[in-house]
Amino acid sequence: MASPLDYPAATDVQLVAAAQKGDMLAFEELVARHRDKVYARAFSMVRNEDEAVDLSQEAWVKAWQRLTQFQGEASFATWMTRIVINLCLDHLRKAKRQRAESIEQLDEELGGVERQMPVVSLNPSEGLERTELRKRIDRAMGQLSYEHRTVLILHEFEEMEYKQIAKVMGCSIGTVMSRLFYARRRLAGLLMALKREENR
Amino acid sequence: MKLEQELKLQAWLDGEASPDEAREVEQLLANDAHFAALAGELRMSKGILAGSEPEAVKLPESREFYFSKISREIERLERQPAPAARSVWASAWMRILAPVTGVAALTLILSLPDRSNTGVDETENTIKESTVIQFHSTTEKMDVIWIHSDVDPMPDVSSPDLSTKPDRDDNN
Repeated sequence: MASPLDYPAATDVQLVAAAQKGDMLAFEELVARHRDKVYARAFSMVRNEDEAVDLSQEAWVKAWQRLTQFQGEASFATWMTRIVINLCLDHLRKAKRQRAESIEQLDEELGGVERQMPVVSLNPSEGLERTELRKRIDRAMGQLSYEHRTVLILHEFEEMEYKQIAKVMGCSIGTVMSRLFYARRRLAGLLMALKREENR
Repeated sequence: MKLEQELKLQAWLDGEASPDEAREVEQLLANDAHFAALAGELRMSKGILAGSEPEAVKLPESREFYFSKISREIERLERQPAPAARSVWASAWMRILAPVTGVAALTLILSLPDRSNTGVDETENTIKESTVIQFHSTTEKMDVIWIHSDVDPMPDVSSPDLSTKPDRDDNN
């Protein structure tokens, strides 16, 4: 008879295999291990605590339902992150449809402002401790539109290629490139503004 | 400077430019000071973000409370009866009937009385699993007929694409 699984000591692969057979305790251990990462990714995208909690929980429910489809091509954490990213994108798209779009929003998306911005030549991160820099990046990211924030998260933090981002975001590679360009330009401007604010 | 060139510059910095694009960018960098300054800014933005993802926020709920909501939802969904599967015969009939109904709707629309006085006319017929929209403009002397089949569902947003993602955060 196979010995019972020692959940805290088991690897993700072992836990996934057990959960695929319906072992809810194995699944609970997976949730406990990766819940912070899944929630953090949701929060980085939607910037709202309650929505991020709900979306991350929805992602875990989806994961349970689709667990048999997980074949281990990537790590379980990566697979989970993709699920929560997709749910967040869907949620943000719905929220955007319900919101009346202003000319400013449209302009921002098309990069009207960013194209006119002067090139930032000074490094706004110079002399900053890593923790402080992360805080500033977080503040600046919070000021970006969801399209710009998402494209930066997917490219810089999830290390996706243009082609993959286009697939996830449901747009063309050209749109990904222009969004990424404007997002980077805007981020540089925002970080510079935060630096000036601090020096004042 | 054209947006197209700026995007090529970015693709070059991200390692996604073709050899031809890379040559074009390198030439521009050598001859255009503003282009070189923009390259510096983009490189800087990229560099600042690399390895500086904001601190991961912690879940504001305890393990037990967080999981209890997930398990309740799983139980609720598992208690729900599975949707009745459509029989093979019903599916076959639907496959035949959907286009036939579409054609019938189209014929009906085209046989409607003369619309020449109205200038512009738009009709929409929604039939289960197919939609027919007809648009007529007298002034533009134009008829547009759109037949759309709803048989294929939208791609599921929760099916993650894992085809090419590098596996960098393997937990075990």
